[in-house]
Amino acid sequence: MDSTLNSFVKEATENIIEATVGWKIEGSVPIERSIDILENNKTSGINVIINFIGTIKGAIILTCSNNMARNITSLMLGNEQNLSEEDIKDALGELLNMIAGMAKTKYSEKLGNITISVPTTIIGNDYNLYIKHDSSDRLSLIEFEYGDELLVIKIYLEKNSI
Amino acid sequence: MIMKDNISELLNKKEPEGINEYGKPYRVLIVDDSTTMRKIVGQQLKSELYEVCGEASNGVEALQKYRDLNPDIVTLDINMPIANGIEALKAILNYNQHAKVVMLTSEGEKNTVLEALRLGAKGYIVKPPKKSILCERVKIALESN
Repeated sequence: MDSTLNSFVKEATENIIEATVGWKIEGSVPIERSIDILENNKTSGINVIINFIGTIKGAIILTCSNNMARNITSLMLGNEQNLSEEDIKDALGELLNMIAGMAKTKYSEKLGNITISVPTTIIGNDYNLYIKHDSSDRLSLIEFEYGDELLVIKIYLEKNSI
Repeated sequence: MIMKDNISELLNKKEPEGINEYGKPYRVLIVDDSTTMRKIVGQQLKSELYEVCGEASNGVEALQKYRDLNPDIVTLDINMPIANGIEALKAILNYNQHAKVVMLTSEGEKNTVLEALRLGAKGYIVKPPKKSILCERVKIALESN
């Protein structure tokens, strides 16, 4: 697994969340997980996906509960309470866009250029998030705890790019 | 004593940066495909009494709004759908070569930022914008020739 990318994503997430939301949070050590969770992945809440392509290829996925997504959006907008679902989708998309942008810059400076896509955001209850993958592709998780809630960043890498 | 304190307060009071020499607010057009980012930039500028005269979510809309509103300055995101920030910058400068434009970028777009500065952008701000840096860059751009 490309641990350099993992550490850049972890650092970028900590920095961007502190700068935009004001939460000083520390991510867990990246945990390698079975790629199968991209298949059997019944989920609720919000998922934001940004694909990347270049010297490596894959995706960064941000997952959190609807409640946490609402809190993050409110704080990003200066304690705004009157929030629509569109506000939340846009805010979380922009959050991951900034995280991926910062990680991409650091990665590109050291290990070659990568390009990132615009974010795709899914919100709802009890749905399956399926990402087409090969059994030898790799997946890492970084967990960020705030209060009693968890924000998870998944880093998916295609085998040919590892 | 009270008078002395009042004078000291008046001397130390910082003038809001968004007000021009005639006492009117500078008018800003904010261009970004993210409504969240438009709100954040707008809130930060309004707190310094800038007037947000319009918003646009892509490069095509940016040129239309620029023509309609004739703002004093534009904050322009780089990575947008339909027409990106570089295309919008070229179109705005083609319409008004003296237009004052500050680019907004995620860190991953350094080469594009350099291109924007070469084309005539007056500065850039890395996302997420910090109010002090945003206002400083906007002020520098407004004071530039």
